Amino acid sequence: MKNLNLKAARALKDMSQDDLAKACEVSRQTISSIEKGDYNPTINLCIRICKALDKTLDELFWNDEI
Amino acid sequence: MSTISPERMIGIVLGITVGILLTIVIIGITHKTKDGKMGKCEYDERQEALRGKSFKVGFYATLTYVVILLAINAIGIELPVERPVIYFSIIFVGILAMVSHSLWTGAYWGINSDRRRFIIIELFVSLVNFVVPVRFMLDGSFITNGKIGASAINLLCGILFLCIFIQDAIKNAISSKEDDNE
Repeated sequence: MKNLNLKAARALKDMSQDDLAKACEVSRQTISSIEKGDYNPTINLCIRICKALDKTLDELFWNDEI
Repeated sequence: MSTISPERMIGIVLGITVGILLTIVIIGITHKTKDGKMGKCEYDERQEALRGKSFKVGFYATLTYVVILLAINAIGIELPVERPVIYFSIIFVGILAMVSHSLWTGAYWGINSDRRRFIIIELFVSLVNFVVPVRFMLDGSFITNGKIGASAINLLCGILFLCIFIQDAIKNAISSKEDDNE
């Protein structure tokens, strides 16, 4: 399932996928995969992404449909 | 069992020694990261998981290829290539399968890899390995006694690196378009 919250939060901070990837020390393709819903990150990576985007875990990764 | 002449044996040993030394030098050069320091390639969690799958793909590709070769041998077909070429082709098939899978899943390049340096070396190695068999083709010793000789190993190596380069170029072009559309 696509992670639109993540994409929106990244756009709000005017960050490209590459910028976010570098901030989280992962590859750009990993960020792309997370946004497309093709990859479920570990909790550690989720926390790093939240810190980079100044958001909480709930705001970026909570999914009511699961 | 055919006997190998002392000169050929010396040639084989020297060739392998030079190959190993060159490999060590190339590994040393490619182990420089983007910031110029010596370091191991680092992969993120997704890449590590995918690389594990890539090794599996390489393993099963190698296994399948070996089974095919055994089946060909079992039905009595003798391939017109010398044994060392077949042995190396098994290695190359496994490597190509593994590298192709990791390339297309975005797990080939580490987060700190110096991609440009790597590509230059890939092209250099490919070129060198194409040049070697050309010499044998020109002096007519590429095929001896109806069998393709050991210089075909260099040809296969060159083809392997070229395949990796071409796939990487295509993947990079596709990724650049995805970057533009993100």
